[in-house]
Amino acid sequence: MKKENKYLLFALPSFILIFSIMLFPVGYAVVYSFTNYRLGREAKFIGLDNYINVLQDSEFASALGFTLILTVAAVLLQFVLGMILAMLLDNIHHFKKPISIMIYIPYFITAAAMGVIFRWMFMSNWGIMDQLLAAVGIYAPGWLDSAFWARVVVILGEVYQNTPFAVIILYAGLQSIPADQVEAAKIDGANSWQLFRSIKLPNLRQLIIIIFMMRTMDAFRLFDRVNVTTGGGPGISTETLAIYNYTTTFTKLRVGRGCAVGVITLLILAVIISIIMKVLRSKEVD
Amino acid sequence: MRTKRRIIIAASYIVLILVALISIFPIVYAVVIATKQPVDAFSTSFTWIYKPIFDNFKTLWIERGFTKYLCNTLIITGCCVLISVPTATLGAYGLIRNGGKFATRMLNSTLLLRMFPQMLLAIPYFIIATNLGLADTKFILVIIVVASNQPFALWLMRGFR
Repeated sequence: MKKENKYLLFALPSFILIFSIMLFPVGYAVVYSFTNYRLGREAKFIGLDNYINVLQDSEFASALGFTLILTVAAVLLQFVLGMILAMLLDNIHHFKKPISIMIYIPYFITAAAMGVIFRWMFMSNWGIMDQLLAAVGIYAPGWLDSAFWARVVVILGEVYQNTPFAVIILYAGLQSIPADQVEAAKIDGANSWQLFRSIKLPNLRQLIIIIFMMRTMDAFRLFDRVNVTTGGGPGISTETLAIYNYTTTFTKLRVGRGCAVGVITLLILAVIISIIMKVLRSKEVD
Repeated sequence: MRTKRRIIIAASYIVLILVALISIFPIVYAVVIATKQPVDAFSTSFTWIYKPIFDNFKTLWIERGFTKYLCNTLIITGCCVLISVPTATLGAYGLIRNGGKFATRMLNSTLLLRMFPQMLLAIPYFIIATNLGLADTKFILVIIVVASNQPFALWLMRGFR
């Protein structure tokens, strides 16, 4: 056995875990997406009917549209804010621990619990947001009653809760940048923008790719927080693909069709992720 | 130059402390609501000064068996971390050292599995668990959580090379 191939053995436990547990369920869902299976009834093979039905459903189009808006807005904001906060944390010398822990807190709260808190905060009339805004003389809109503001609240929730993820990773990355590179650049007279552009950003590239990939995946499949905060409402304005999927599968019990939604979600995500990887990898210089 | 640097650091502190305060706000808000009388909790005039009551906590800890849920969560989280971190660290190390096409392909395929909407996997997971006689046990839950987080852990570890 070649030496390189021996290293693959190290990854064996990991891959056995993943493939033995995940492969069957995903395969099962893919197979059932071609049937008219409803919970408690016999399944019959119906070819691509589920896919055609789903793609023609206007509710699906609306859910997909909102999911795309949510993903793009939330992931970009999370990355930018996360980068700024990580750099600021890297800048200071005192009270690093308490400040960083406080900043990480939203990420530690269970998403569903955060959904409940957000729901209270943005309730019209007695929600604290309305009262805070009233204190500075702004008349708050009915947050969760208008389609636009409900969407804003959902995106805000996603940014609020998951920006710390970007901060944690980027801050750890910033600290692992070799000090000699930064020193050398400084001696060469690099200003802080050049330092950021040519030393810090290339060193963080792998981590940035991971943040974009993971956050995109999770934002695209966002379910719990939205379901608790707005329940997809008002109407279907904040319905994400995952909520659409959930109502199809577990409320209407159309498991076959729900699986088709899942496969479509997977395919769209795969395309988005491969684009992200292409774009970010193409910037590789070394 | 030195004053400029000082201003930057002072500004960093101000922004960070502001963000930190915003970050803990929901928790503070939740604590306030949890310790208020039900009538006052959701009133139209919010007050920060009030006489706290702890009835809700008493109900939760003593009557509702909160400790049991807490223990379950602790056990499952602990087991997941203890299994996930070593396997993923080892795996990522092996994959980086190998660095071949095959390793990259395997890594990408784990990502593909992670992209599938998790809730749809609930039904097949249930079928697996029942067939193995493991339904309603912590063991199968730990295995499933570890397996579904493994792709993420692998990728994260690989990022810090």
